[in-house]
Amino acid sequence: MKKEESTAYFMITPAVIALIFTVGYPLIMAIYLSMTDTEVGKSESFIGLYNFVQLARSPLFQTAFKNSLLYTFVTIAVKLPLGLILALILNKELKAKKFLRGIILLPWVAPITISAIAWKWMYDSTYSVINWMFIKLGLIDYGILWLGKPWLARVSVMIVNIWRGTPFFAIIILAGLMTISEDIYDAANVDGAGTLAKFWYITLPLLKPVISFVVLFSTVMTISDFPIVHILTRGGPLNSTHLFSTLAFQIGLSTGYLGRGAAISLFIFPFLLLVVYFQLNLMRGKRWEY
Amino acid sequence: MRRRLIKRILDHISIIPFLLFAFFPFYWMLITSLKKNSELYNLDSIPIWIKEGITLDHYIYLLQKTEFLTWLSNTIIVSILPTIISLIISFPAAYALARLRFRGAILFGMGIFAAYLIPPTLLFIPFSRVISYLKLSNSIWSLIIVYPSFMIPFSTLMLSAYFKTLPREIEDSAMIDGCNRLQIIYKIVIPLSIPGVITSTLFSFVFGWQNLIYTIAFISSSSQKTLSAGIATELIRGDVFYWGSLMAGALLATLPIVLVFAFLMDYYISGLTAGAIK
Amino acid sequence: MKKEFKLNKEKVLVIMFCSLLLIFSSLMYVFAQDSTLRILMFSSFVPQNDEALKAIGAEFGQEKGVKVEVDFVSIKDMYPKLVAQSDSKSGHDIIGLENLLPTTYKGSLLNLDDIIEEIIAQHGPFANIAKEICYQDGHWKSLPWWIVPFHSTYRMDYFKDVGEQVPRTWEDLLRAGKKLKAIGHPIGIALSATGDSNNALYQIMWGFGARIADSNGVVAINSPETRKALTYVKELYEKTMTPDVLTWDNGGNNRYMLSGIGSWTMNPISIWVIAKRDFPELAEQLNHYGAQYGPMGRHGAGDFYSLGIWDFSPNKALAKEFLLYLYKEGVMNSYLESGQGFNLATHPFFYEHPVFHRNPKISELIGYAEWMHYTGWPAPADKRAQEVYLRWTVPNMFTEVATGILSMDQAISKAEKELIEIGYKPAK
Repeated sequence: MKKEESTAYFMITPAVIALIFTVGYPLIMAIYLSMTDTEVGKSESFIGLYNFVQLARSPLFQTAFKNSLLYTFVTIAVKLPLGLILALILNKELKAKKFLRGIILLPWVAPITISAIAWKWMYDSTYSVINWMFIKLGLIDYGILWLGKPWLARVSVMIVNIWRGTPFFAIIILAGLMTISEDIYDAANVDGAGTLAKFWYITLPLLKPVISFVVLFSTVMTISDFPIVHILTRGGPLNSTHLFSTLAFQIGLSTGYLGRGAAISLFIFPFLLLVVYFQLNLMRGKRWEY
Repeated sequence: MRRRLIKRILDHISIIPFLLFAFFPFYWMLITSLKKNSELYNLDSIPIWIKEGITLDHYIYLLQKTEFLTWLSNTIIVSILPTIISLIISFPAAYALARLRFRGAILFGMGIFAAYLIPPTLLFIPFSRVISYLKLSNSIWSLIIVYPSFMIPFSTLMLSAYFKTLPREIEDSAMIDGCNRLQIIYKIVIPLSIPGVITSTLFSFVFGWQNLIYTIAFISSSSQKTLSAGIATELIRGDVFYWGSLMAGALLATLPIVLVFAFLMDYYISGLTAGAIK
Repeated sequence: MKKEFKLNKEKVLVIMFCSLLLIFSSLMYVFAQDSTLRILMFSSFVPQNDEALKAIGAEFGQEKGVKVEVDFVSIKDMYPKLVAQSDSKSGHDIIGLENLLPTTYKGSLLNLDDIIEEIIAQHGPFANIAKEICYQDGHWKSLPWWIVPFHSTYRMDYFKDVGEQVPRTWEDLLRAGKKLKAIGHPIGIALSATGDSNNALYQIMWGFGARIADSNGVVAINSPETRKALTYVKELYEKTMTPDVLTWDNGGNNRYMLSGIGSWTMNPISIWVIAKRDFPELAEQLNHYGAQYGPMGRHGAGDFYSLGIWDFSPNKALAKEFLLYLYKEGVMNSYLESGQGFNLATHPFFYEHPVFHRNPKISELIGYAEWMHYTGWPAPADKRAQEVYLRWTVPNMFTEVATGILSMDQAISKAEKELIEIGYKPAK
């Protein structure tokens, strides 16, 4: 036991050192910042959880809070099944597999800031190519104001997030799919299992570590998503698309209320920490035997 | 036989909507980047086709009038170096997390993840202090140091999850045969985990390629900027968007990674099929 | 045995990494310490502005025998950069400041009283708005530089078609706009979360005598004047505009005008400049005019640019000399020349620069700084006004009323609550 432990400590040392340097200090400072009334160009004082209390009362923050949860929940609820289906399809014997996989990956691989700008033009009230197509196809008479009405704007930013995030899910799940050996399916076939049964009783359980990994990461990344909303709507119209990060940017970085901005960014930090804790236990706890 | 043929056709058809959804914006970006400005703003023109003739002006503007190539090489450096550093650091850490029992494992896992829980739009402030203290402001080295902060957690956890899907028996039996950890890792784990390593490397690379906030925070000179930063500065001036060049820039900024992925996909596939054989 | 082997490998890697780091930091340290004057500015709409600034920097550098580096970032990126620099107390020496940023950073900016006094002695006083923004807590905190006026741009041909002249008052605009919408060429003002929206709506408010707060910082938005302004904009939206305006970013109205649909909007000359390049026929028909008249006078808005020096800069004296150099007649003239009329002067001495007289479409705008206020006026120029600007309080209020989402009372009361949350004092 001891040897295993000391081996482990050796192996994690570089990571620990790197992370203390790159994360330890900045992390602590960021948390400290959220508990002060720091503003740019002014000296700060420690105010404990005051920022958080103020935020909880602020209608603007409550809106951003609800938006963030909605945004994360809906997009992941769509990205997961889509990514799973896509991975299953890509796992089959298809012609030009490499080419297909390359194309599928494009949305995720393209720098998001620039593709967000492209989507902005695609949603433009005057020049939208989407409206143009819909009108030509006779689906609508007037252009849709993609970014003009609150609920519509929410859907529009979610579409961009889903467009961009599904490949991420697909590729990682695909990697998991590919490690499942054919033998198991063969054995199941011998036993007379149908496609659905094979999927439900073999594929899904074996994909669990991979799926929980990708959902965890995506949750964290989506909840702190910034460029899509910032570029498409800046949080508007009427604050309907504000997320934690865009609000933090507006209040913290644009106006200069660093303490408040930090508090916004960190508001759900404890909650996320809990999620990570459970995920890690889940991942480490089970022993996977084929 | 027919059933299989129908199945195969269905398989191919079912991917079409995904392909269209993924690819259409890029097709449109391509068309836009080749259109003349006059047609671009013309309401009567067709957005998905070019009527008035292709122009390479936008590409020429991008490559001649801006420091695009410098940004490209910066982005390459700033994506590759930290990725390699992160891989070297996360591989052993991931193995320990996946296979070894030690006190503080969960704590370590959570600590690694903590970097992700602080959004970069906040984290860059303390990082700025560190970077300016090290006198690395306005240099791509600031990015090379900071990028591992989000690459290491991702690689470690991804590789860890990946290691967990590899059968334990091989290592166990090797241990019984008298090999120690190092030999096991070297001779067994590394070869088996190549697909996982490649995948996590590719992902780290893409994260590095795309990152913008740290570039904005630390870098001001054009010669040190990465692609996203440079494009946003030079091609969006006030309220005027240089759409043609923006789209051209988008495509040219995406192309290298696609090539990298395409190239490494081969290894990925062959490595996996080899690894699945017990 | 094996353990040592492992130790060595790791140690070597760690050592390599650390030494690389060390080498580079020392290199940077060495190079960063010479007297280089470092300037950070917004990349201008007119690329020639950037070139001119670099050239001016080079000339200055030659004269003084120092290196001058000018870096450009986009306006949006400037905000986080300034935060990072002021927080880490390191960065450039001279920084570009938009609108009320001097009030945000007044604690970290060097006092520029001496150079401002010298300029005033040479050329006379600045425009009022310059003092309103740059003079904080008894000191000049930044050097006023140029403004981008938010004036009106319109299609002469469409107005002629409906038998209307240039709409000098808001009432004229409403009347003309109804006719223009009827012939398929509506007008447009952004009603969205964008700077243009702030700039336009504040002008309308001021024209009717409305304001967010008074000069003592007491909330004043709940007033008959505000209601007049809201009524006006609601009618304007319904009768003369289309819902497109709800989606606009700063470039939205540009695109609207360039597509040939729009007949009138508020925007600096960027629309006309792009039109000249790509749509000469359309450019022929475009024209501009200065601030609009309302029942309570003529008020304009726009973007105000000034230059500040960080008080932690290692090159304070040099930076001050540069700022003074910028206002030398020849130097300022060459800079304004490069803008081709896009940047207007903030100092009356330079109002009549030839570049503004070459084209009647630009000479219309001379002296705009005289009617211009910072967004937030007459409330004090401080962080609260900046926050109101960035939280889109005014655009949201007008949007809610114009689209009917909220009643006037509801919208005003919501805005009032927000203003109080931001820090203004409640009215008695």
